[in-house]
Formats: sequence, C-alpha cells, structure tokens
Amino acid sequence: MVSLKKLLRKSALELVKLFHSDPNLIDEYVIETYELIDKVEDLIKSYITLRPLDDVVADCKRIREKIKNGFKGRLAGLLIAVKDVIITKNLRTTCASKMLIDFIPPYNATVIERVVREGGIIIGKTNMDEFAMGSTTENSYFFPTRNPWDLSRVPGGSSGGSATAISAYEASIALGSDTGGSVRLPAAYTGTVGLKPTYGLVSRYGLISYGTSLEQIGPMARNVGDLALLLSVISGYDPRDSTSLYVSGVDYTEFLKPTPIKKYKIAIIRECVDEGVDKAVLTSLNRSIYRLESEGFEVSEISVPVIRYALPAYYIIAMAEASSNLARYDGVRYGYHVEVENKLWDEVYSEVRSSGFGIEVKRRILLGTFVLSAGYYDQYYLKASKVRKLLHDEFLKIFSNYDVVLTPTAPTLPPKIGEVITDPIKLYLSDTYTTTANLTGLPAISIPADVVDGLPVGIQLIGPKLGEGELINIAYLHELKTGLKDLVPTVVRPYV
Amino acid sequence: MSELNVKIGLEVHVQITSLKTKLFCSCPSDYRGKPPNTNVCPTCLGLPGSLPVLNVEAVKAGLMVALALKCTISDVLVFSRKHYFYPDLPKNYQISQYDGVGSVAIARNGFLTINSDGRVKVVRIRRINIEEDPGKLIYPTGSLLTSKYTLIDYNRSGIALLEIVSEPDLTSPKEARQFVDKLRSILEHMGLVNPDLEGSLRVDANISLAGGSRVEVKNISSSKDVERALTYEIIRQSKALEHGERVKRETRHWDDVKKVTVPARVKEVEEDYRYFPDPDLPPIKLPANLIDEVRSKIPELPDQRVERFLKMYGLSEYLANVLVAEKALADYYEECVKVCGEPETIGNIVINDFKRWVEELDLSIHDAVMRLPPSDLCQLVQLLNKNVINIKILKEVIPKVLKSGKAAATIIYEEGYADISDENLLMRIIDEVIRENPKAVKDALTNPKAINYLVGQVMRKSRGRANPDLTNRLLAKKLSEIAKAQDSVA
Amino acid sequence: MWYLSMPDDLEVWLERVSRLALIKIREDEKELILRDMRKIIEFFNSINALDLSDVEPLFMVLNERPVLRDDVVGSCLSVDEVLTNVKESENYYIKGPRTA
Repeated sequence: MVSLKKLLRKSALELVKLFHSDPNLIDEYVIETYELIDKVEDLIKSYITLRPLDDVVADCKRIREKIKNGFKGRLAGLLIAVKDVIITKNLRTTCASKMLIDFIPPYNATVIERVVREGGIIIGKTNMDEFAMGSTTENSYFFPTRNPWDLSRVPGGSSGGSATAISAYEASIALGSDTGGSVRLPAAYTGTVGLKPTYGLVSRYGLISYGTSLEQIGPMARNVGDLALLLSVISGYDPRDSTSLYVSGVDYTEFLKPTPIKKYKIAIIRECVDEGVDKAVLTSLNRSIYRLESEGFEVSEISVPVIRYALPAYYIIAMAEASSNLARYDGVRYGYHVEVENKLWDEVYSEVRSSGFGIEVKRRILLGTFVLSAGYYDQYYLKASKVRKLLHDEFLKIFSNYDVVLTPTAPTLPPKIGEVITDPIKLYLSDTYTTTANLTGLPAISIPADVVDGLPVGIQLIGPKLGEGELINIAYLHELKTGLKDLVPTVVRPYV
Repeated sequence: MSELNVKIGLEVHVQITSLKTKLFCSCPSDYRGKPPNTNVCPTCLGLPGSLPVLNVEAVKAGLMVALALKCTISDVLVFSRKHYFYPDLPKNYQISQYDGVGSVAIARNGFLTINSDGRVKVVRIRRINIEEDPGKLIYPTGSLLTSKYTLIDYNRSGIALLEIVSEPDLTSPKEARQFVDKLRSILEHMGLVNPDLEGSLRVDANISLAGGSRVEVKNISSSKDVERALTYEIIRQSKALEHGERVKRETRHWDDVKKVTVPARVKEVEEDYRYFPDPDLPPIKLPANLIDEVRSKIPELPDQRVERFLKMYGLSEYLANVLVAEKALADYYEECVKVCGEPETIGNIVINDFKRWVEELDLSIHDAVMRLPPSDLCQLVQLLNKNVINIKILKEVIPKVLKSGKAAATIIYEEGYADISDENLLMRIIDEVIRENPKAVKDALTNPKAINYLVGQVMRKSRGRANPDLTNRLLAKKLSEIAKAQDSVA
Repeated sequence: MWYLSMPDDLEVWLERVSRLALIKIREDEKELILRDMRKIIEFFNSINALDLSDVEPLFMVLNERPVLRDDVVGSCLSVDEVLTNVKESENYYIKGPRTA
C-alpha cells in the first residue's frame, strides 16, 4: 500500500500528470489534505473560509468523470488556496474585513474562471491583511495568521494566508495579490516561491482593488515549476480588464530548463544592501550571489540613488488609489449595513465606514484622501508620480545593460507577532525592496535562498517587462543548486 | 437686459442614445421602462473587483460632436475620477474627464452659432467631456422632503453622457434656449441623440447679473424650461439687488412643477472632487486617421441643411430655420416634397398647420407623422389644387387627423368635406369595405348582382358622397383582380 | 533641504479629511491615529529632497494596443443576484438614506 502521506507531498506538476492517468487518486489527495488541515489549521489559521469536504469531494467527482472522458486540464484535481481579495462566485469573499463579512459575489474573477476551466479546485479563501493593507497578516479583522516555521512569528503579508496554506501543505498552489510586495514578502518569510507578474499580464477583473496601478494577482507555490504552471494558466489578455496586455498562450514551464537560456548579467543595487539589512539576510544574499556566479553568470554592483524614494512614493500613490477604490463601501448595495430610514446619506455612510473598516484601513484612506485633496495634490500625488517616472526610466536603462536585478526580498527575518504592527513606519519598511517592481510595473519573483536558525530567507529577482520566462529560468537553476524546494516547516513536519 | 449685464453659461448633459450599450460595460442602453435593477452588471453596479472597459462607439460619438462644434481635439483620451458620495453613484466616484494635469477633456475651444435678433451670434464651447450617468433616485412619498428614505434604481447607472460646456457668452434667457435648441438639432442630425427620450437631455445653467455672484441652476430638462428658469432667476436676482441685498453665490434647483428655482442644500465642506486620472483606464491615443474616419461619416448638419433648403426649395430663411430646428420635422418636410413637390406650399402647411398642431396637442413628431404620413398630406394638397377642398377645409382637416388618429381620407368623407370622385380616396373606402365584408365579397365573386350590397356599403361609409358610377366601376375592377388572384393561387 | 509645510493643527486636519472621506474616527482611536500621522507625513515629505521640476509625471504606462469594447449587448445580472447582498430593499428598489 502506497503511504497516504506521499500524495500531498508531490509537486503540482507531478500530481497533475498522476491524476490524468489515474483520476481516482484525486480523492485520496483531497482527504489527506483535509486531515492535515485538521491537525495544523488551528495553529496557523490560513483560511477565512474553508469549503466543506463534501463540496470539494463533489468537485473531485466531476473532474474525475471529465478526465475519464479525455479531459487534460493543466490543473486537474489540484487544490488551490485563493486569497480572500479575489472574487469567487457564490463563495464568501471578505477581504478580511468586517465591511465585507457576509459578501457573496454573483460573479467570478477571470483568474478563477481560468483555474476552474483547467480543472483546479478552490479549497478555500485565505487570510490576509484587511483590504490588502499590511505586510504581516496581523491586520485581518478575523485573526492573525501564524508562520508555520515559528508560530510566534508573522508569515508576512498581505497574502499571508495563501503563503502559509501552501507552505503547510494545506493546498498545492495558491493565488495571492501583490500591491507593494504582498506576494513576495510572505513567500520569503515562509520559504515558498511567489511572483508578481508584469503589470497587465494577469487580469485584474475580480481582484478587489486597493492600489490599482500597482497591483497584480500573483501565483504562489512551493517550487518554481508549480509556479510556472499556475502562471501559464492565469496569464494572458482579458478584454474585461482595460489594463490587460495583449499577450497570450505562453507556457512558462518551457523555461524550466536545467541549463541557462543565456549567460545572464545580474545587477545588485548598492542602495539595497548598504544599510538597514539584517546580517542574516545579507549573508544569504551573498551565498546566492556565489551560486549564480558559479553558474557562469556575471554579477555586478550598480548604484540607483533614486530607489531610496520608491517607498514613500509608493505609499503616497497606493494610499491615494486606496482612498478612491474604497469609497464605494457604504453598506447600501452590499456589505456591512446600517439602517437607512430617517438618516441623511453622509450620516449613514460615516457610520458604516467607521464601524466596517479597521484602523490601518482608515488611516490609509484618510492619508490617501489628504494627498489627493485640493492644495496637496501637486505636492504629494503629482510629485510621487514623478518619482515613479524617474524609477521607470532608470530601470529601462538598467535593463539595457543587464538581464536581471537581484535584491533581498525583505530587510529582516520574519518578525515576531506584534513587533512591527504598532509602528506604521516600521511596517512600511518591510516593503523597502519590493515596491520598486510595483511602481515600475516590472515582474519580480521571490525564491528561497536559505534557512537561518529555522527561519526562511528569500531573495528577489526583478526582470524587464514581460521577462517572466527569464526569471523562471534563473529561479529554477538557483533552486536546482540549493535544493530549497517543497520545504517542510517545523509545525507541519510531524504530519507529512 | 443689457443694463443688467446678464452673463449665462450652460452645461448640457446629453445621453448618447444611439449607443446600444453603456459607456463602460455591455449592459443594454435602453433602460427606460425596465423593472428596477434589472439592467445592471458588476461594473455599473460598482461591485468590488469590477472594471470599466470603454465603448469604442462612444469615442467616435464624442469625436463627431467635437468636429461638428469645431473644437480642438486632444491627442490622448484620458478619464478622471470625480469623487463625491451620493446614493445614486455606485462607486462614490464618477468616471469623467477633467481639465488639469494628467487629464484633459476630449475636446476644447469650439463654437456654435445661433440667430439672435436677426444677427448670427457665435457662442463659444469651452469643452466637451465624456462621462457616465449615475443611477436614479425615487422618493417613496413622491417628494424629496417628506420621504424617510430613498429608493435607488441603478438601471441608468453607467449610460454614456456627453457634457458640453459653453463659455458665459449668452446674454439672455432666449439666447440660452436657442443655444440648447441648436445644440439639440446638431446632435439629432448626427443621429447621436433622440431628445424625445425622457432624461436624455439635462441642462445646468450658470447666471450672474451686473458682475455679481454666479448662481447655478440645476436639473432643467428642456430648452423651454431653460428660458423659464433663467427668466425667473433674473427677476429674483434683480428684486434682491433693488432691495440692496447681495446675491449670494449658490446652487439652486429648478422645480418644473412649481416653475421656480429653489435653494439646494448648503454643504458645510466645500466640495473637493479630488480628481486624478483613473488608473483602470489607460490613456488612449486619438490618431489622425480615426478622426478623419469619423469626419467622413458626419452627416448633413443643421447649418448646411438650412443652406440647402434655401437653394433647393427656395424657402425663406425663417421657414428653413424653423424646419431644420427639429430634424424629424425637416425630414417630414423633405419626404412630403419628394412625394408631391410644391416646396413652398408644403413648407407653409408643415409649419403653420402641422407643427402648430403637433405642439398644441403635445404629440411627438414621430406619432404625428404616423397619423398624417407624407402621402396623406400630399393627397390633401392635391385635393386643394383640384379645388375639391379649399384651404379652410385643409386647415380643419389637419388638426382633426392629428387629434383622432383617423386617416385624412376618412376624415374628409366622414365629415362630409367633399364629393368623393377622387379615385384614390374612393379606393381607400372600397378597400375598407372589402376587408370588412369577406362573405359579401365571396358572394359577389360568384353572383355579379351581389356587388350591389358592396356598393351600398361604400355609400354608407361615405355618407352618400361617393360617386356611384365610379364606385361601381372601381368595385368591379377590384373584384376581378381578386378573382384573378384566387385563380392563380388555385 | 526644503520641506513643505505640515498641516499645523492635526486635529483640525483630521476633522476635515474625515469629512471628505466620510470616516468617523472614534475618540478612543483618535490618539492612535494622530500619533502616527505626523511621522507618516514626514515620511511622505522625504520625496521633496529630489528635484522634480523637469520631470513629467507617470500615472500609467500607455498600452500600445488600447483595450476597447465593441458596442454589443452582453448579459446582465438577474435582479436576485443584485439583491443577494442588499440588506434593505423594496419592490426591487434598493433602499438608500435620505438626500435632503
């Protein structure tokens, strides 16, 4: 008898192949997963909404039948965790906020349609910072999510629940969203892989907006190959999204080659390593540099002084867009409601928005309103947009001389719960290295570089526009060298 | 008027009713009459995660209007978000356009001309914006003030609007009305707006007297009301000034039931719309070839049509202008002239009789044309020319036709206006009789004598006015036609 | 280094912004919010160290191929779907607060 534990340990790529030839294995895999969830979920709290086993088993049955009739969906039978910022039809979508505590969407996000069409099974909606505003998943209305490597630490955010779900084998692959690092940071803190695609590569239709011009839905997985698989399914032109790029049909698994496609020229940004970085992180970065050099790649140091301004510019723009995107929450058409009779609209709306939003969300909306307001628009929003232009042009120059930029993903090891949440600036600094990619719209991936004192450390690779293939290629090679894939965190170890 | 130094500027919002879908989503644009909230989708309802996608025909419509109004067209089309909270606005911001850094109206600096006191007056257009319509608010008690809550219908939310803003070049309520009429006529001639549709045209007027504060009057839905509202304002403001009061800067609403302007709710905080470019809608280049394509499709515009009427039909300027002011009327006129010529006569009848009664009876031109189609009007003119009826009778027949919905021929013979020896007229009656008496027709086909019954029916219908010999002859002819047709079928 | 002016009275500032954003800050939250505001605004102000006078703002990257929609009717939500999340409705209308 094959050890039951073995199935959920397999990579998504392997599982799909297996399920195509023997679809009866899907049920075993699902039951394994739910049994594991039973054991670890109360400790980690990845999920806001976990679908009942019966519902998922019904999905399995449907897919099994389809496979028997020749269906070869690229995600057939896989359990997928979806960040609760992505709209799922008839499945509660809360954004981890009291404001949407009982919101049942009547439609599906494009990425969900694509995932389901390929046979993927949504297992549940994962925890996050409220409305994607945060870097630790402590800002959730419901509860904080804990890092499976050390339950006293945060898993990063805002896609914390998606990262922990895959890190703890509660799902095979996951979808997150990345506005300023929200896919990459939790990936780094949980020893998983997370990608923020080129802006416009993945449809935002059905992504509940926070920082519209900055964010993308990103694939998350335990290894580069699985990430490439998921990216291939969700990416491509969507006529329902005006910011969608006219690109389609790329199979990113083709970049999973054990030999490099070219002799990559890699740049390290001096300003990202000279101060404010933990020693452990710096050491891990240096080890990765060494690995890449031994592949025959050229690693050089460059200076990009303007990058110091990426973080404040990012927050000005993100908060401005947030204040606009969250204006719609007034309880009238959906969400947290206050009785309307005999009250004026501004009274009702104030009550709804004061009770429905958490404090960090309120803070960002107020600041965002401020930076767009008359008399301040020029000084803040306009100026930040100019910084954005400088960064954009700077990176165009960089990529005419280099293939990829390498930085740490985060300046520190995963912080303890409660450590950064009380000081907003400290919280914002977690995004120091990640916001540049959002401001410039460039693709960026976080991959495991090391495990230090039982805690994962990630490094970030930033590529040119639509350079996902090259990023995946380098990431894959790095993964082959380090063997850091399909890691098993401390909390989960006894059960897999 | 001139001592008062009246300055009027208008903001006209028109729905682009020629579009089949809304501005940013593919919900149908014909929302009128549908049960509430049955014409919406995630985008126009503002559901979380929804996104706008621009209707390409709306862009072309905007460009066409910009060209017709001789505006400078932007290189790039950029939308902005205009933020304010209100129950009819699902996202609590409106996707619109704004003149400011990073955003620009689709067109600026154009003009149109009106005939003011016999002179041609140029009224400058400041800008044209494309924007979305909000939903509709209903008050359960019927009144804004006594309802304890509002009822919201989002069917209209997201409909495409063009906002056309004039410079304050207008100097009287009459000019303001003329501006709206001219603009409406231009839009009608381009086929972009059907002004008969309720709510398709709304005007906000800004007026100041003697260099004083500007008062905005909102919610005016017809050009006549524009004139009324501004006339009221001038009286109200002059009275205040006479009493030594300062006219304060404010927003007022036009109450079209009471025919007065009333103050709108005073806001404590100055409205700050916090415009910024909408990040869901990347800027769109407006290339020259697109503009040329649109330009080539512009149909005949009112000014050109007036010119042509003068040349082709020898009409007076006055007549030509009145006809062209409403496209449907001008179309009707030309159809009539096509059928029977006589442009001058028809012109006079269409304006002095047809149009006059259409207005008095509050009909739409569309319905009026159904009741008195060009062929029928021409028939009347022919009868006039043959002296079968005189002009007095014609002037009586027309309102009766429009009022009753009965055909002109029917009115003529029912009211006993003429002996019916006109073949066409008689054939109409005969056709009716044949239709109404199928059994008798069947009899008459086999028994020639049975034709007398049918003749009798024709006589009865025409109250004895039908010419008997002609009737017999025509009936016989018709019956033989019917017989032939039946044979060929068998 | 030229830093632009900070709103002098943060409490007044908070009042005004709260009204624009229609978010009431409760008394027990006020201190927390105000304490960090000054720091955050100073953090924003750091971009003033850059000379941006000759720089054009970048709001979005222009899409080479604009996404436009043909004027073709698509499907709507059913009224039940619309009202699923509506807490107060009447005869298919959505109930809203007073406007006057």
